[in-house]
Amino acid sequence: MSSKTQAAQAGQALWAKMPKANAELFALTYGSLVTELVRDYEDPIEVNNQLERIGHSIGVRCVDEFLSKADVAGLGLATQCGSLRDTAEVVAKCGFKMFLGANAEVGGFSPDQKSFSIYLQDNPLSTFVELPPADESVGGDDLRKLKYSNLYCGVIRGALEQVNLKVDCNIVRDTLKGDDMNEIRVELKEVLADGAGDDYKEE
Amino acid sequence: MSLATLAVVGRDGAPLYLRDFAEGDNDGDLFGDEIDVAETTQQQTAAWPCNVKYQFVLHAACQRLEESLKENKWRVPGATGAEACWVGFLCLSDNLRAYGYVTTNARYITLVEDSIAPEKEQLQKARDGEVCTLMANVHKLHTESLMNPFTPLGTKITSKRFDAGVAGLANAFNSKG
Repeated sequence: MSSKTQAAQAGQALWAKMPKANAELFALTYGSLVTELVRDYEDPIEVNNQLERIGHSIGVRCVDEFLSKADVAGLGLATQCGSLRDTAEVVAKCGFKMFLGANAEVGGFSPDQKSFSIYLQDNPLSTFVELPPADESVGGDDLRKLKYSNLYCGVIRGALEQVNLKVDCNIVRDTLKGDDMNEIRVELKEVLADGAGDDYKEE
Repeated sequence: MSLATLAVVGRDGAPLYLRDFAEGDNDGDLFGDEIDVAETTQQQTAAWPCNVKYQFVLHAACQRLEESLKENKWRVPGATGAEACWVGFLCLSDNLRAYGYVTTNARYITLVEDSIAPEKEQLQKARDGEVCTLMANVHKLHTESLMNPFTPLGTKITSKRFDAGVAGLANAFNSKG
């Protein structure tokens, strides 16, 4: 329980220190990125994959910044997360809060403690966005299959990969499709051994 | 005095959104002759949910608005915000007063039923002010619908959020009058 409030407080403190950007500009930039991808690839499934790859690239870089800022703030995050539960708290309460200012909740832990869900009430990426209705499909593709916020999945996957956790992320519920909140399901696939050790062992 | 129609017209004059709010039945048969109009009326209403008789008045109002804009004398000097975009009363036709509101992206025309006696100037001015606020709010809704990355620019407005917002504004306006 204490780690939960710790993470939340850390998140608040970090968010206060980060430089801010205009939310509308951010949402519009992401919106034009998505529409360009839709125009280029036309298949919504392919666009989802591209968004995930872009997110992966962002996540890999973000995690270093996150860990260094958290270190500087002396929030004791340099000590490892004891379990996936702690990781989940840190990702949702600190990560999402710090970079997006969004309040995310964790929950839905599976019985084997290998997967969890992150719930986002307000998604800063999808302000003003409305998916076009299915019957007005653009040249035949159904934009209902588009996972608009798939960037988050890539970011989480990329970030956790850098700390040796191989995960799979999916968007399960999406407010753009009519659900009441956004839900990202994260599943732990495996804990990677630290790659750097092998080369030295050879010698 | 209630809001009868709202129209959003592009800068070139092409219609983007037409909607009427009167509860009258929409039989397109304006002239009472024997020609059957039921089917075409339905098709027309599906595309543009506005009674044809209002569209005639809207055309007249549109023309008057374009004349005013060409003269370029409609702007109240030193006005800011909503007042700067407010063209005001355009024309009176068929018991409907037309008002115009001009912004960079679009022109907004509303038709309001005329039920205030000509002597009651103050009341009329107050009502005009309310129409101005209504159109400023529609402008805000339109801007938000343009922010949706999936809307193609310069085409018919199909956003459900815009529809619902406009309906809400119309109800609020009508309940006050």
